[in-house]
Parts: sequence; C-alpha cells; structure tokens
Amino acid sequence: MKHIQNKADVLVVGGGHAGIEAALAVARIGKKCCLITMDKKAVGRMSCNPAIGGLAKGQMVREIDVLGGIMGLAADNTGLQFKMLNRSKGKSVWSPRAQVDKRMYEQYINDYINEQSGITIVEGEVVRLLLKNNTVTGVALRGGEKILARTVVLTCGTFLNGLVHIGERKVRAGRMGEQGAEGITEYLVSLGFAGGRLKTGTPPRLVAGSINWDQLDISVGDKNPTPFSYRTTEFYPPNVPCFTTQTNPSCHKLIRGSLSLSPMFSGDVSGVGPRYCPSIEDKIHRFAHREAHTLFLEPEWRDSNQIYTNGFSTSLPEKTQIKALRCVRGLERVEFYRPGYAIEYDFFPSSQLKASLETKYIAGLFFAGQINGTSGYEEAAAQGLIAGANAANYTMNRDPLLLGRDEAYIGVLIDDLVTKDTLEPYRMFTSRAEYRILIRYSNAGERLAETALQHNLISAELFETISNYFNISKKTVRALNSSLRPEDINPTLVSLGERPIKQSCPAKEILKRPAVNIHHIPYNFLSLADANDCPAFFFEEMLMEAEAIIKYEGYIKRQLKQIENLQKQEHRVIPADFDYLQVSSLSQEAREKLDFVRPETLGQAYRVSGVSPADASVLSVYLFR
Amino acid sequence: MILDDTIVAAATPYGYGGIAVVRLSGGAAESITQNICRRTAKFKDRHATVVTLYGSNKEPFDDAVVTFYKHPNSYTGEDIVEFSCHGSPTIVEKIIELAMNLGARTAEPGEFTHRAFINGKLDLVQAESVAAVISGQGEKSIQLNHRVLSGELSKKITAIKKSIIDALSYVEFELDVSEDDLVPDAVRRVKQIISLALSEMSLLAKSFREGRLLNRGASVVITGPPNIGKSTLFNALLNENRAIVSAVPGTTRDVVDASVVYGGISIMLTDTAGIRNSDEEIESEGIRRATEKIKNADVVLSLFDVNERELFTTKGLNGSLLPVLNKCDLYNQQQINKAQGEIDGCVCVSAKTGDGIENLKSAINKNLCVTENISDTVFLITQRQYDVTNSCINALNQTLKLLEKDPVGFELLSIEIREALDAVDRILGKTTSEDILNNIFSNFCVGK
Repeated sequence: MKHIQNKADVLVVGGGHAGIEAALAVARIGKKCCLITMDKKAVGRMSCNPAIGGLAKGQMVREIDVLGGIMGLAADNTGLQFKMLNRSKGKSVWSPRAQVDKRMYEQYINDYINEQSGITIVEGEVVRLLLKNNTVTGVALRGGEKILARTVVLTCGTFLNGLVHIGERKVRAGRMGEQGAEGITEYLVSLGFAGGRLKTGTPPRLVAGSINWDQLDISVGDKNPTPFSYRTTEFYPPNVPCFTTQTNPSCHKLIRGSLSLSPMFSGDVSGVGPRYCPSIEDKIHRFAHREAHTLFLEPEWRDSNQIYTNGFSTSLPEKTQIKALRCVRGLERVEFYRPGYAIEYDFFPSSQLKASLETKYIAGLFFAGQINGTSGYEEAAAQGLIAGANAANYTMNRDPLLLGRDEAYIGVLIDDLVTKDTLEPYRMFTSRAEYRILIRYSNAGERLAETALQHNLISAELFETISNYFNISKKTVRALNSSLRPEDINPTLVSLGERPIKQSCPAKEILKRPAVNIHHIPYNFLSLADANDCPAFFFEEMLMEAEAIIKYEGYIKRQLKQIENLQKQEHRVIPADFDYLQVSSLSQEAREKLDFVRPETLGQAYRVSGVSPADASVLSVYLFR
Repeated sequence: MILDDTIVAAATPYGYGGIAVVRLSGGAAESITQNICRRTAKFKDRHATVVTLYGSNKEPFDDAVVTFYKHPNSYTGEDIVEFSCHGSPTIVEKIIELAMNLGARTAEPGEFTHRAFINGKLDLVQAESVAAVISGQGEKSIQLNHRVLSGELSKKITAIKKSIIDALSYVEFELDVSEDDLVPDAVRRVKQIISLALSEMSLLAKSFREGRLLNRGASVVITGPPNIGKSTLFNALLNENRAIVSAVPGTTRDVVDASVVYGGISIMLTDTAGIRNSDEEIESEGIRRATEKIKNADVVLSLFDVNERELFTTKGLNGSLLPVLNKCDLYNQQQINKAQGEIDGCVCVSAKTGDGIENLKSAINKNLCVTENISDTVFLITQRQYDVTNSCINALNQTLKLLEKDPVGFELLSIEIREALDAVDRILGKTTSEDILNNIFSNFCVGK
C-alpha cells in the first residue's frame, strides 16, 4: 500500500468550480493543499453554459472576488461580452453577467493554479475516507493508495451516480469507469449521511455552420462594461455579439405532442427539477398562454462552431428536439453536436452541515458545491471558497469564516443551505436576500474586504486598492450633503422637466428625485479631482454606489434597524446535545426537523423549514426561560 | 410561561351551583386523575366516565363525571381531563389541591388558550375571540365572536395575504427572472392587486368601530337644555323609573347610567345634567362630567323642543349626533313638520306618553351603523388587530405611492409589500413576539 508523502493540511476532492476556489483559498491562507481530481485535464471546466454571473449570481462573483477568489478575474480575462442586467430596475438588483470563452476560461484557471504555490494536483478517484474517532484523517483512492490530511473538502458533486436521460434512453454517466463499483455516495450513506437525488437539464449544442445567422436578432454587451474583479485594471473585452431567436406555436405544438416521451416531464426522473430553470417542455406546459420563448444562441468560445442553446433545456428524444428547433426562425436547417439531455445525480441534504460547511457528524470533513444540492458555477465557487478557508482555519484551530445574511449573498446561500429543505437544485435569487438593498454588487468591497484581510484571503495591498476605490464614493456622499445653489442646478432640472429649486438645498435632496441621477449633479461640485489613478470603470461604479447610498438612504436605515432588532436572538447558541424530541409542545414536524437539522443558533432554528413561528416561540421559551 | 407541566383550574365561576367543572391540561392530566379516582384503568378518549373522588386520607368525598380528551384532539392540543363535580366551592378547591399535590400547577389567566395557540389549535385572531365570546354581551356580539372564533376573520385576512403575495411574486419575477426591461404590464397588475388589498384592509379597519361596539356595548348619552325632559326620556327608554324626574330645572346633577339591549346590541344609556351656566359647585361638576360623557359617546341624543330650537353641539364629538324633538304631545302636526323640515334627521317623541320611542330605538341602532345582517361580514375585534391593520394599510399606501413614481423602484416596492405582509402575519399571530403574546393571554380569565 502506497502512502503519498508530503502530507497536506487540506485535501480537496474534485476540480470543479468549488474545488478550485477551495484549493486556492487554502493556499492563500498559507496552508498546503492537495487537489484530487479524476481528470487533470477537466480542472476548471465549464460543463454547462458559457456564461459567468447573471441575476444574483453576478453579485456572488463579486463577493468571491473580494474574498480573493479566482472566478471574477478569470471571467474578466476570458469574457466575450459583458452586460449589466436589471439596469432599469434599481441599483440593488443590478447584476453583472459575462459570456465567456469556455476554452480560455479553463486554460486561465489551470495556469493560475499551476502558478500558485502550495497546491499539489493528484489524479485519482476517492472512494473512502480515513476516519479516527469520527474525525477525518485522509482519503483512500480507488487503487488503494491513501492520502493523509487533517481535513477533507468534498466537492465532487457532479460525479455522484449521474444518470443521463435522452428521451427514453438512459445512460450512466459521470462516474468514469468501473461499472457497479461502490463509490463515495454509498460510502457516505454507510456512515449515516442522508442522501437524496436531484435532476437538472441541459440544452442541445448546435453546429454553428447550420444556423442561418442573418435571420437572428443581435444582442451585444454594454459599451462601457464593468469588470467583476477589483484586481482588473485594464479591461477591453471584445464585445462579441450573441444572437437570439424565438420559439413559435408550431414548435410548441411539436413538443406538446411528445411530452409523454420526456423523462423530465413524465415523472420518470425521480429527482426534483429546478423551478426557475425549467425545461422547454415544462415551460410550454406551464406557461401555455405564451406563444413564444426567447432562445439565446451563445458561442461556447470565440469563433466557436459549437453553439449553446440557452433557454432550450430538454430531455425529449433527439428526433423531436431537432424537429422542434427546425420550426424556429434561423434554425430551419440546424444540426446538433450533441442533443439536450437531463441528468440525475445524488446529493446530501446540506442541513447536515454547520454554517462553516463542516459536517456535523464527522469533524474535519467539509462539503461544497453540487454535493450540497446547489446548481450553478457561482453557487459552487462560493461554497468552495468558504469550505476551503474554513478547512484551513480548522487546521489552525481558528474561528470559522461565517458571513451573515445581511453581509453577503454567500451568507444567504449558506444559511439557506444549512436550514432549509432542498426539494430542487438551489439557485441564488436576489429575493432570497431579505436585506437586498444592503448587499449590492457595487458595495461588495466595502462589505467584505476587511473580513477577507483578517482571514488572510487577500493581501494588504489589494485591501488598500479596494479601500481607495470606496474613498471615492465616501467623498462623493460627503459632497452631496452640502448645498447646491439654484443657478448651478436649475438649468438641468428644467431640461429634465423637473421643478426648479428656489433657494440653496442639499444636493442629496435633489438626487433623491427619481428622475435625477448622479451625472446631473455638476461634476465640480463633487470635488473628485484627486481620484485620477482609479480606472474609469471603477470611478463610474463608485459614483453609482454613492448615488445608491443617497437614493436608498431611508430604506437602508430601516433595514439596519430591522437587523438590530433581530440580532439578539440570532446568535443565541443552542447546546449541540439539546433533545428536541422531548419538547412535547413542539409540533411533531418541528421536533423531527429540528432533531435532523440540529441548528447551531436560535436564529437558524427559526429558519428551519417546517418550524412555525409558534414552534419558534416554544423553543425560545424552552431554551432561554 | 412554562410549557411542559400540567395545569389545573376551575373552569366555572366561584360559588355554589348545580355542577362545577375543573380542568386539567398537560402530560400528567390522566395519571393525576387516575390517582384522584383510585383507578388503574386508562380513560377512554372523548368519553364521560362516572367516578368516585378520594381525598388524600383515602376517604371518598364526591362522585363526579370525568371526560378525557387525548392529545392532539383537545382544546389545548394536550391531554385534557374535565371533572364535572357537584357545584360546591369546597369540592372544587379539594380537586385542585389534590391535583397540585400530584404535580399539577394552577393555571395562569388564559393559559389553556395560550397553549391551544402554541400548539397550533387556534391562530391569534381566533384566540382573541375566545375572550370576546366569554365577555360578549348581546346576541350580535355573540354571533360575531363565534364567526371570528370559527375562523371567518382569519380566512378573510389570509385571502388578502394571498393576494399581496401574488403582487410580491410579480415584483420578484421582474427582479429575479425576467432579464428584459420592465414591462408596464407588471406595474399595472401590481397596482391593481395592491389597490384591491388596500380597500379590503380599509374596510376591515372601519369594521373595528362596529366590532368594538358589538363587543363592548355602545354608549348613548342624552343631553339638552335643562328641563327639556332628558330624565323622562331616559326612563322611557329603560322602561322603568330610574332617574328622578321633576319640573325643577337642574334636577339631575350627576350622570346616571343603565344598560339596555336594543336589536341584539348592548347599550349603556346615560342621563346627564342639563348644560347651562351654573355657579353652583355640584351642578358645575355634573355638567363637566356630562361634557366628558358626551365627547366619548357613540350616539348623542340631543333634545330640543319647538321653543328651544338650539341644538347642543360640541367640537370633537367622537360619535354621531341624533336630534330628538321631545314633548310632541304638546305640538300640532304643523309645528312638528316645521321642526322636522328644519332639523335634518330629527326624531319626534313624547317621553311622557311613550309615542315615537320605538322609532327612536331604531334610529339609535341606525346611528350606530350596525350592519343588520352580520352573518356574512367580519369585524376586527381588538385594538391590537386594529393597530396592526393600520400598519398594513400604511405599507400598502406607501406601495401605491411608489408605483406612481417614474421610474418605479421595484426593489423598494418589494420592501413595502413585504412590510404589508409582515403586518398581516402579525394580525394572525404568525410573527408575534413572546411579550405581546403574554400580554394578550393575561387579559383572559383563569380556566380558559
């Protein structure tokens, strides 16, 4: 039996978006990391859509960036076009998204990891953990080799008993090799972990040459785009256009006629599918009144001959897929590289984890990514970063890195994961954040840079860069508190069709009018002459941030007040051995749920699915009377 | 409040009677009862069993009927035992004492209902109506509270809540799913739903006055110049000689109250001193008290006659003013017609002969604005419900204000709509803090 020498502090199992951020976080903190992947060539691969960010996800990419992660920087360097979504809907929900070149992205990630000292990459399949007294001590590989370490981060979610459905055809996938062999899922179940099954869909990949591009609508990125990363100083993305088209009644009719052949629709898939990323057959069935759905034809890489059909996830038989797509404008003669398919996979309900992402049953074992029932690169990366950082903290007996629901989308993500039932793949939405106004993409640096520095996740130099950016918004807010004279602003107000002012009044009061934005305020007034070394895109972003602070002033105060009121119960610690089953006044459901989830704090307990407010008050009386 | 012990209390009022009921609730209710009855067999769920009760000296002291309700199918959701014993305070006290010796504790006021709430048997609105049912007077009050207790008000509020959630999901869809620019359709739909919810919540808020009127009873105050016949009318309305009547102006010095029921509504009728400038100390005090009563009355009966046409008015009247032309028996039809023509909505009576008294009674009811047929309406019944309804209305108003702006801030809409939802949840007690709950239940009587 071979022991791999050079004992690492943290073993990261899996080289997807979660594994990468985990390994990099460990290395940044200064601990040794060994990343075990089944396929060295697949590290950092974008297995699904060729895009990073999007609604609520873009905010998380920014947060990952402040915590020193790679995702944002990689997207900035490999993006084909960048777009700020929700621009018409208020700054707290603005969400950046990039179309990226998948090949370049993967390459960029690999180069970055290879340059990072402290990370060793090992090829192999982990089938078992090494344990001592319910504490992890390493892993065993398929070939029998053992690798020792104080902590293990499992991020191998996409490889857990995958089952691909194309029409009525089923193919086992993701496990690469040895048929019927016992894998890590079975092993974890044997340790007492509860498991479940989820499903997700993918759309067909089209042959670029078979598309009639002239018939499609063009969708380009922003003219003056904003990068994800505070580390990006030069930013000239190529702004490669995307193309869109629309489904139509004859396409819908074809699909409707074949619904019985779709395993994602017919109920043949035992996992539960994502509500917000529905398959085309689900969309047509559920939004029956809509005659058209938009399809985005996204190049997988620059000049790619392979096109991702965003909006057309399906598990219909290949023949139906192609017939239906050929009804669509511009796709009359379309050919497939690969049909769409549904994939089913195992996951482990994440209420078995602490907020640090360490499992409650086995010390030193962390889970991150799709293994926790989430969907999406950004959700995976965020968890990977936190799990990696906390695995490193664990080896140093340091307090874990925990983010509150009022601090970051990542905080919302993890709190939801450890308290809520996962009935479908978890995807982030801005509406999951009750303090949405407070956690804007544009103030991520302000919110998280200090925490990142304290945990050694970023350098003092980057911290200073970020602080300097935010000094611009702070200065601007200060300037906006002083008064504007009527002659300086009235011409602008009149041209906007706004009521002019009669006497001097604080600039912020004028800015609070819905029709007025920061650029309507005379530039000299903002006295920002010394902000010249800031890249133009961040300068602009900081002005936007100042505008948000002013426009949201009343609401920000209200939310801060709410948080203050909740803080008292939020952090009350519940003893780990508390016997919920004995509390007869709790409803049966609450007793069982709380006994399974075993929340760490009263705040978490209140949010456990199945716990009613009445149960919550019983619990509070019981624990703290 | 402690929740895992067994509580005991008399459920019927203190005193002698045919039977008295003692109630036990909690995990030990059955074993305590077995002990008192010296019985080893279990009690059958929802069955009445005749038993003999034994004191601690093992001497039998009463025969009683015991009814056992196994959890969760009981009022509190816990095991409940009800002793129906002979109606002697000594027997009741003895049962309670025995139960306490066996580990039970005397219940706090309202603790049975509090437990029912905690165990999800009732929502807060329903729980509040339990107290109202007990203290309610008049048939309409009882009808109303029964409707609230059986969940009609909760159902109404839940329906409004559902529509507010619909509006919120439109807003969130725009923010979270739709990557397109805002569609005017979304604004229009949200506006429509919120306006409707607002008008329904406003109706509920308005219903509070009526609900309170039904539950607490209405206050009707008689006023007018001295010697206009206020006390005679008071007696006529009561149908008994309560107030002293004489021809001397200023006979009534203090306020005189009496309670009557008209058309199913309990009314507190008040006779007052005639308002005039008086140097006399006692009369002045009487006039001060009268003024106070008038201000807070639901209906003020303002008496006049054809010679004393000047109607009593006062600023800051909370209720409505009902002009009453008294002494009709002294006037001819022409005089009466003239007075009626000049004074809007006036009712003619003769307190002395009793003419027009029935008309006056129905005019009072009409002025109280009590809905004739309350079987298809719901009312708010507590101040708490009213206050929270108003904060919901505020949030909905803010929402509509935001919808008028251009561009509409959808992320702010979401905050206001969530605030409205939070208020609705507070009405139902879904998010109500422990102190508020304790406050609500402590207003109950012990044993309920």
